[in-house]
Parts: sequence; structure tokens; C-alpha cells
Amino acid sequence: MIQIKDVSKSFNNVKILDKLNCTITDNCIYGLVGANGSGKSTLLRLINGIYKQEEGTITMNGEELFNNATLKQKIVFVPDDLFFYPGYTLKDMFQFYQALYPRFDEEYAVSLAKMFKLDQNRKISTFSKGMKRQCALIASLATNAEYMFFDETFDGLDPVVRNTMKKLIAKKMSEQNTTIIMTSHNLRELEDICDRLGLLYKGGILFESEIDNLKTNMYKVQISFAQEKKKEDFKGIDILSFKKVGSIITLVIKDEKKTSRKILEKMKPVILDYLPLTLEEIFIYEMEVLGYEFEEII
Amino acid sequence: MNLKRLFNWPYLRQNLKKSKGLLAIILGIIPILNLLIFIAINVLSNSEASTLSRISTVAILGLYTIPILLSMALFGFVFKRKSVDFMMSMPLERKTIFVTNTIGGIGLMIAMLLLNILLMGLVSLWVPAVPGAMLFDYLVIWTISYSFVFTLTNLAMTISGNRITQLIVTALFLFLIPFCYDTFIHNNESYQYLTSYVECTTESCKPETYLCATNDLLCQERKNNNQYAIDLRQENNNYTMPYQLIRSRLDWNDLILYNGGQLLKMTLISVFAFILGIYLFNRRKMEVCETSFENFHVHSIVKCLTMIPFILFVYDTLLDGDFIFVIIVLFIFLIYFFIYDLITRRSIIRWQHSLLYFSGVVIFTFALSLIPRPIFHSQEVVLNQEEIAAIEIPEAQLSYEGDIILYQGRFEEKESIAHLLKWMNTDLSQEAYGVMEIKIELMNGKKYNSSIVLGESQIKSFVEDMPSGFVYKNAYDELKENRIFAISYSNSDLYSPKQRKGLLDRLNKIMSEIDEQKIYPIDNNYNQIITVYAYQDHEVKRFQIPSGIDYELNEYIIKNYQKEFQEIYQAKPKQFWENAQVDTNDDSKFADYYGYLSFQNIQKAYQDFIEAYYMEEVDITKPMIDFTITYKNKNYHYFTNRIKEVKELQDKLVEEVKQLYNLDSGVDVDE
Repeated sequence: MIQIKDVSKSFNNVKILDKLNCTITDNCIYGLVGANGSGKSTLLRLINGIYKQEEGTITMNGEELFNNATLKQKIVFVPDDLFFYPGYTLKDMFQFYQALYPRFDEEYAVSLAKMFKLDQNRKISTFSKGMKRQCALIASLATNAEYMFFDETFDGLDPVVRNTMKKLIAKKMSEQNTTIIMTSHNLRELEDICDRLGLLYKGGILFESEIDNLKTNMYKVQISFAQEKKKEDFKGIDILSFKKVGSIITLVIKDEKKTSRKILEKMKPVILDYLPLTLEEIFIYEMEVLGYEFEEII
Repeated sequence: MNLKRLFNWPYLRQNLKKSKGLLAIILGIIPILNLLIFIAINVLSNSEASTLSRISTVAILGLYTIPILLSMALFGFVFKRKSVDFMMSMPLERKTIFVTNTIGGIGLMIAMLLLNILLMGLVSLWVPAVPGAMLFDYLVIWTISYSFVFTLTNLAMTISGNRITQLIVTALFLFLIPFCYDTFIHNNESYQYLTSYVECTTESCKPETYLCATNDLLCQERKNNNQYAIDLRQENNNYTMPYQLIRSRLDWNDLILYNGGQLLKMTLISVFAFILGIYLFNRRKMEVCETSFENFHVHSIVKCLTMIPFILFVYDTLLDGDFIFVIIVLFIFLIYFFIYDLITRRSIIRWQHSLLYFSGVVIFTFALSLIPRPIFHSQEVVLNQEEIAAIEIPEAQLSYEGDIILYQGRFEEKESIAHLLKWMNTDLSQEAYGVMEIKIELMNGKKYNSSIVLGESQIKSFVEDMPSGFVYKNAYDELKENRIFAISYSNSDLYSPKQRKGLLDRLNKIMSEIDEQKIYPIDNNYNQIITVYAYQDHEVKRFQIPSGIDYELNEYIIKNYQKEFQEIYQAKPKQFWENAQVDTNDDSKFADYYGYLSFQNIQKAYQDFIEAYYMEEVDITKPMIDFTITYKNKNYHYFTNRIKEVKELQDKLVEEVKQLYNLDSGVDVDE
């Protein structure tokens, strides 16, 4: 478990992270979302010991992570802006990781390279942007690290490779109890892979939740009645949003106890439809509840 | 302590692997270049014996490039955000990265230096140009010097945000402190000239003549206290190597490269820089990259420090009263202030700040320049006669009335020291006839340089004062035979190893028979200086013997040269003159006609002469002429007693040009 407690970091007297608290539990895929400049990459750099926080602690199972080589063997980081040694081939890259990560699985790395049709003897600098990201992801997956940090994970990957990568990451997590932490400014990117989501805003985690909980507790309901109905008529229902167009009322409701359908059916509606919400919609409504404009945040 | 936590070989191997180009330069091109230059300067050229500085040409140039390039290759990742992310996220402690790269870099430089000495040593097996001890000292000197520059460059990296700033900070570390010390305390002199006196406690130390101006009361007072002014210099050579080399104005020939104090100083600074580097690298803000420094005040201070040498230059010009030039230069400095910002920070600091800092550094430097030098350093030295442990005359031969006085050696006897001091402080009332450079060593280990200047009439008294010739003999005996690596003739031609053996046997015999004489008769028919070179006590010691003091020695030298020339000429008579040039030690007849004489004609005449008589033996008891023939960078000698024929030949050449240019009336010919 990685625990981030009261962490602050500034650049040029501008506070990027301000007393941030967050806990990354083991064996999950944690998605970190936030607008550009919200501090996602900075947070990952702090966890990975690239930068040092000005205040607070970052610990792994109770031990300070910064400058701790033993603990850092358990984590691997793929930054948003990739770097490869000039003149290095993918094979050289694997050797580099192998020299520093004792659990590096070369066979696995080679098999992935073959799967993605990446020539191991070609200089990485001659690869396309997407191929370079594949190289970085393959090398990091092969480290068998316990915690993997991916910044803007799928940036530059085509949809086919992106799906394959997602599958590989999910497989890694399920087979080896790996904890994956990935960032994106695009919620749709993370929606189908993450177990847990955290929203970074103004230097802190504004909102954090299990995706399943979010998805199973919130619904969009389209309902129509023979008579005129107002918001106040829906007693016993936790309404997050109420919109009426003609005779059709669209509700976004929170229903943790699964009692809403019975209540609504008792009101004898002409039409009653429960529609699934996208993660983005869920976030919009949750943020609105908290008093934020979603466009400001993401 | 877990060494693996400090040094991670797999990481180093990977980090070096990426710099294949630099590796090829360090371990391939430089050793080869070094070898080629070594062969060209020390093996093919037979004009001078090897010295540490002569074999260090490439190493000296490399000092300002290799450690800096290596540091940039190993630590360059800290200056780019992308590479910082990559490297610093790896499972390595910062300490491990710093220590591994530093030790690895030093190891690589040692490997390069080892390769250099190995190649030079291999060549020296065939052509013994360099003694092993010199090669070992080469390794020690350059390992310490390179490590010094390397660790300071690494230290500069820990506080800089980009490569240019790293270079600037490195330059400040290497040069600014010694430059300020040199400028403010030593006035950029190679020697510190001291206001110095010797205090005599015995009569034999007191000068024969010592004059004080009538109104110079201080001089009178000192004279009454038996204190006499002497010329004393202290060599300013305790600067660190990179500064010392530049300070010597690129004239490295006489530079003593092995300087214990300097090496110790560099070692201590390197260790300090290494430890401080670990501390600072551990705390380095890795987000500070692609800029000069995090703080613009630090940026401005560093910028100001780079200005100090130039402002001092302006200050000197200001003293000369050239105000317009100063205004122009100050304007250029202001422009530099802004350009510096653009280059190192890619943005211009507000001009008010720049102007403020600029004014500050100008005022600071001018104020520092105004402080009188004695405040920094007291230059007056009074040496008590009893404090002096020894006086050494490294090289001295004075010809005297056709004979020779040999005074090379170390005088430790109290009485001899007193006599030498006497002649140091005796006033010279006539033209200088003989000058002897001397070295004074005190009981406490301090060393000074001085000289004894003698007038012609003083020579005899000086010789009478001095002890017997055994000091000279001792100086020869102190040369260890296994450390002798070269013997030269007439300060240029070096003997081949085979000839050297025979010559050394002869010299040993002469020196074993040398007696207490103070003045030696010499053969004025033929006398050349034989110099024996030995590498001991980390320097090349020269011992000089005039060949004219021994008939057999002269005979041995001349016969050997004659034989050597005859052999080489006989083997290749046809091609020989195509690659050879001939000169003689007696061409005074040409003195007034050099502008008219044809070089080819002289060469042809000499060649024909030598061709006709080259197999003739020479009688060294009779007058002779020495022809020096340079063939493929080696000097050969041909001696002949046919002086009359040579003079006639020269007359004929002169006559020809006189007729050709009708010079009879126009040129004064000194017969």
C-alpha cells in the first residue's frame, strides 16, 4: 500500500500539490484524472522519487519511498514524455532494465515485442511515437514490479494496440497482484480498466471512489406521466438532476438501497426507463453535487 | 557499509554503453594521437631529452576537455526533464548514481592514461626515450589532475540547471579563485620577488663591498645589524594544474609538472568536491533543469563572477586614463549581461536587477583592486644565515681565462653556505661576467630561488673562497646510473643507447679521477657540453661536463661521430643529400653576405667537399671544423682538419656573390 500524506510541492512559488492525501491500495488499477496542469505528473514523480516533496510523506508499507533503492525495485514508472538513450535498440533497453530490476522477465519482454511486431535490433529513435510508447510499456511490464505507474498511458497508441495493452495490464494485475496507477485527462480512457478513480483538482484529491460503486449507485431515469409532475413530487428519491422536456422528465438519481424503481412504479408512470450512465456523466453529477463546474475540473 | 549501495557496476556499464562515441575517443583516438605525438616529439626528434611536459602534450590539452565531456556524458541526464524522469525513477539511490558515475569516470580516465603509458612504454622498449619512473609520474600527475577537473565539473553539475551553466560554474571553480589570488597577491608574476635580506652571523658571510646611499638610513641600520639585501624569489607554482598550465602562457617546457604541494592540494580538493557532490546531488532539485539555476539571484551572482577578470582589465585601463575605451568596454559588458541571460536562461532578467548586480560587481572588484597588496601578503623576508640548510647550484660552468670552473652541486657545509651568501650580497661594481642561478633551502623546508652575479675580477676571489671540486663530483655521484636515460652533446644531439653505454663508462672514469682542483684546464681546440639526463626525485636532473676537460673523452666523442657519419653515408650515398642539410660551426666568412648567398650553392659546395674527404680520419690534436649534417631529423657530425680547404671554399662562394652583385665597394667585409 502506498500512502501519501499531507504532500505539498511548489514550482516557482506556485503550489501544485497542497497537503494532498491519498492511499493506493494493493492489487487494483487506480486511475488518476485531472485537468492539464492539475499535478498528476508531479504526483507520480514524487511517488517515484524523481522530485522531493516540500512537506508530507510518501510511504510504501510504512517505509519512506524517496531515495530507497530496495523499495524502488518494486515500482516502475513510464512518464508521459518518453526518454530512450540515444542509439539504443529495444534489446539494449531490455538489458538496461534487466541490469536494474532483478525480476525483469526478458522472455516475456521478447514475446511482447514479437507480438507487437517491434524489431528488437532497430534503434528506438527510428520508431514512431506509438511504437516508442509500446517499447516503454513492454519494458515496464516485464520488470514484474509490484507497482506500475503510467502517465498518460495510452497516448499515441492506436485503438487496437490500446485495447491489447489494456488487456495486458489487466492480466498483469490479476495474475501477479500488481497495482497499476495510471493517469489521464480523458475519463473515457480509464473507465473500462480502472477499479478506482481519483480526481485531482487544485492540488488535492477532490473526489475518490470505486468505479463499480459509482456505476451501480447512480442511474439516469427517463419517466413520463399522464399528469403534470414537479421535482417535489418525487419523495424518497435522491435526485441529483431534474430536467423536463415536454412530458418527458429525465432524472439522475443516486440509489444505493435499490428502492427507487418501486417508488417510481407506485407513481404509475406512462414510461419508465433506466439508462446506464457513462463515467463522465457520473463525474459531472457528482461534481455538481459538490458545487463544482465539471468543465473547470476536467 | 554495503559497497554495492555505493557502486553499481551494471548501471555504470549501461550508462557508458550509451556513450560509445566518447568511449571511442577516450580509449581509442586519444591514446593513438598521444602515441603519434609522442613519437614525433620524443622519438623522431633528437634535439632534446624527454621531460614530463614533453610527453604530456596530449594530456595537457585533454585536461580541459576529457573530464568535462565525460562528466557531461555521465551526468548529462540531469539537464533534461525527459531523461531526469527516466533515470531518477530507476531503482537506484542518488548516492549510488553519483558515486558510480564519479568512480567510473575516474576509472575510465585512468584506463586511458594507462593505455597512453603502455603505448609510450612499448615504444621506449625499442627506442629508450622515456624512463619508467617518468611514465609512472605521468600516470600519477594526470590521474590526480583529471580527477580534480572531473570532480569539480560534477560538483558544478549538482548545482546547475543546464550544460552551459555547468561549464561556467566549472570554469569559476577552476580559475576564479586562483586568478583572484594570483592577481591580488602575486600580480600575475611567475615568481614572487621578495624584499629580502640575509642576516650574517659569521665574518665569511659578510660582503666584500656593500653600498648604501648616504640618505638611506634604513640600509645603514640594516648593515649595522649585519642584514644585507639579496635577490630572493619564491616560485608561484602552487596553483592547481589547470590554472598553472594557463598561467605559464602555454610554455610548458620549463614547467615542473610534478609538484608535491600542488598534487596534494588537488587531491584534497577532489576528495572534498566528491563528498560535497554526494551531499548536493542527494538534495538536488531535479525539477531545476533546462534553466541556469532555480533562483535568479544565484544566476545573477554567478553572472557577475564571470565578469571579474574583465572588470579588472578595465580597472587597469582606467588607471592608464583611457576613459573612452573604458566606456566602450562597460557598454559591451552591459550587452554581455543580457546575452548571458539569453544563453543560460533563455529569458532576460529584468534590466533593473541586472544593472544593480552589474554595479555591485564593478564596485566590489574596483574596491578590491584599491586595497594595497601588502595587506594580503607580507613580502619582506629576513633569512638568518643559520636557518639555511643548503644552497644548490643546479647548473654552473664558468669559463675563466681559457680554463673552466665547474660548480654544480649542493653545498651543505656551513662555511660554503657562508661564502655563497657573501657573493650573493656583494655589490657588483662592474659588468656581469658570470651568473649562477641558485636554490636556497631552509631548515624548515622552505625553498627560494636566487642568483649570484660575478664581475670578471671577482671570479678569482670567488673561486678561492669556495671549497674543492668534490661538490661537483658528488653531484655526479648522486645521479643514479639506472635513472640515466639520455646523454646529449652540445645540448642537442642525443646519443643512441649503444653509444650511451660507452660514453657513460668514460664519464664514470673521468669523474672517479676528478680531483680537488677548482679550475680545470680545457682543450680549447674542441669543447662541447655533454649533458647527462637522469630522471630522479620526480624531475629530470641535468649534469653537465665539458668534453674539453678530458682528451680521451673528446677523442671518443669525435671518433664515434665520425664513424657514425661514415657508416650512414656509405650505406646510402646517392639518396643521402636529397634528405640532408649541412651546416658548419665556422661560417664567419659568410657573415656579411647572407642576403646574397644562395643556400643551394653553399649546400652543394659543402656536399662536394664532404663527398671528397668523408673517409678521412681526423686528428683531434690539430685544429678542425665540425660539419653538422641533419638527415631525416637526426644530426650527424663530420670533422675535418682541412680548415684551409674549407676556408678557400667559403672564400670562393663569397667571391662569386661579390662579383655577381658588384659588392666590392658597398659592403664592409670584416676580415
